Amino acid sequence: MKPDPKKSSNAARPNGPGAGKGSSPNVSAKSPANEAEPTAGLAHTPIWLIILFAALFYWGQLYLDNHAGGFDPQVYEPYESAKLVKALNTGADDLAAKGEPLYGMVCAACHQPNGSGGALAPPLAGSEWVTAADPSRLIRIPLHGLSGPIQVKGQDYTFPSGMTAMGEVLSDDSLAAILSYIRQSWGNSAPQVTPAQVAKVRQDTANRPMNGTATWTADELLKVPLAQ
Amino acid sequence: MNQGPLIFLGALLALAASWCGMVVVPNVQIGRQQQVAAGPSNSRYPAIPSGEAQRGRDVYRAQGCFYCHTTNVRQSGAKFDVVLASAGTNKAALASGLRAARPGLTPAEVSQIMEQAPKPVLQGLTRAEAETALKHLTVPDAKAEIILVPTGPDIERGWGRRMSVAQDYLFDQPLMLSKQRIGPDLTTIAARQRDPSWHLLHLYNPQSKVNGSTMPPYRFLFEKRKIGRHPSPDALQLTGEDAVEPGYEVVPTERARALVAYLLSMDAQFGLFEAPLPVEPKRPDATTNQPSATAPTNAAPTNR
Repeated sequence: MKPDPKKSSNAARPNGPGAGKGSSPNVSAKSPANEAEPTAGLAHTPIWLIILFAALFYWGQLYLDNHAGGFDPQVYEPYESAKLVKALNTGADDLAAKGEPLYGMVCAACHQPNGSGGALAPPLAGSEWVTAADPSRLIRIPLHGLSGPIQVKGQDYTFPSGMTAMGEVLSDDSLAAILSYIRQSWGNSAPQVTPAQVAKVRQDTANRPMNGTATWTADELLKVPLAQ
Repeated sequence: MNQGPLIFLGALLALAASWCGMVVVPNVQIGRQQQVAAGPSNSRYPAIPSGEAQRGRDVYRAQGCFYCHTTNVRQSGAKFDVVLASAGTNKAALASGLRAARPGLTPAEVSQIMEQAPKPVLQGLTRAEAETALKHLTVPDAKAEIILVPTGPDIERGWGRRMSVAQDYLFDQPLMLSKQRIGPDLTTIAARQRDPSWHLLHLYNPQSKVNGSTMPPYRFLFEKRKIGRHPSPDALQLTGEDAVEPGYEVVPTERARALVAYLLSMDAQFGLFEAPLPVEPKRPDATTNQPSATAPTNAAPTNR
C-alpha cells in the first residue's frame, strides 16, 4: 500500500491501483462498475484550420487545372493541353504524304511508282477517274475491285485480272490517304479524299461484298451519281 | 473507439479513391492501347518483337542490363523554330516581313534566307513568339512554318528525339524502365547503332568499341572453339589484344544473338501523336517519287 497522500488521488481513477480492493469505504463507493466509460468530448474545429484546408484545396485544383492536361491520356508532361498536342501534330492532316508509302506498298506494283500504269493497270496520272471532283466513283474502285473494259484518257483498256478488291484489308484512313496521294501527285491536283468520304461510300454500298466477288464494271460506275 | 464505423468508412473511402485514381482510371484510359501507324512508312508501332528479340529480353533481364541502362527518354520542354519553307515570288513583301520578324537582319542575310528556303528564320522561340513571327511572314505565295523542337538533357545527349510515352512500352513485359544510368539510355539504341556485329564485338569487349566504357565484358555469352572444316561465318572479327590464337574462333552463343536482336528492336524514334516530332518542310519541287523519308523521322542520331 502506498502512503496516504496518494490514496485519495488513486481512488478518483477507476482503474488505479487500490481501486475496487475495498481497502477503504469511500473508495468502494466509486467503484468502476458505477462509473460511465470515459468518452471523447466534442470540440469545434478551429475556423483557421477550415480556411487553411479550403485554401489548400483551391490551390490544388488550380495546380491540376494548369498542369494535369485535363487528365487526357494523350497529354504528357512538357505539353499542357490536348489542344496544344493537337496543334503540334501539324503534318498529321497531310493525307497525301501518309498515302505515299502505302501507295508504294499496295498499288505501285501494277500502277507503277510514277502512276503511269502498264500491262496490268491503267495510268493514274492525268486519269479523269482519279481527278473527278467528286471521289465517290473513285472510292468504289479500290473498295470492291473493278473488272472488264475501261476507258481512261480516251483510250480503251482491258486488263486480264482487273483491279483487286481492297475494302477488307485497307481501313478508311489508309484508303483516304492513298486516294489523296494519287489525286495530288504526278501533276494531278484534285482535293484530298477524307476518311469520312470513304466511310460514307462504304455505308452506301454496305450490301456489296468486298471479297472480290462483286467487282464493279466501268459502265456500272458511270451510273453512280456524282455530286455537282 | 466509439467512432469505429466512421473511421472505417473514412479509410475505405480514401483507399477506394486512390485505387480508382491510380488503377481504374489509367486502365480505362490506356489499358487497351493498340499499335498505331508511325514512322515514314506508316508501319504499325511498336512492332511486335520477333521471337529472338523476345528471348533476348529474357537475356537482358537475366544479365541485369537494366541495373545500368534505362529505357526512358525524358523531355523537359519544347522550343519552336520558324522556318521559311518556300519564298515564292512576292520578294519585296517577304523581305520586309523577314525584317519585321527578325529585326537586325542585313539585306544580304534576307536575300540569303529567301534563296536558300527551306531555311530557319528564327530558332528556339516559345510558341507564342513563334506565332507572332509567323504572322510577319504570312505573305501571299510564300510559305513559312513553325517547327517543333523537343528539348531536354536526354535529347541533347542524343538518346532520343522525343520523350518516351506509354505507347513505346506496349509489348514490354516485364517493363524494365530502370532508374540508374551508369551506361547510356537504350531507348533508341537500334537507331543509333544498327550494325549487329558492332553490338556483338561490344558485348565481347566493350572497351574496344567505346573508349573509357565502364561496362563489363560479357565473354561468357560467346564460345571459343577450334575451327572445324570451315570457319564459322558468325565468328567475331577480333583484332589486337582480343585476337585468339590461330586455329580458334569466337562465335556468339544463342544468348548473345538473342540479346543483340533485342537491342536492335529498341527503336523508339518516330513521332507519335502524343509525342510529336517535327516534319521537315518539303521543297515545293520535290513532290514526286521522293519517299517521305526526306523527313527527319528516320534520320539516325549520332552513334554512341
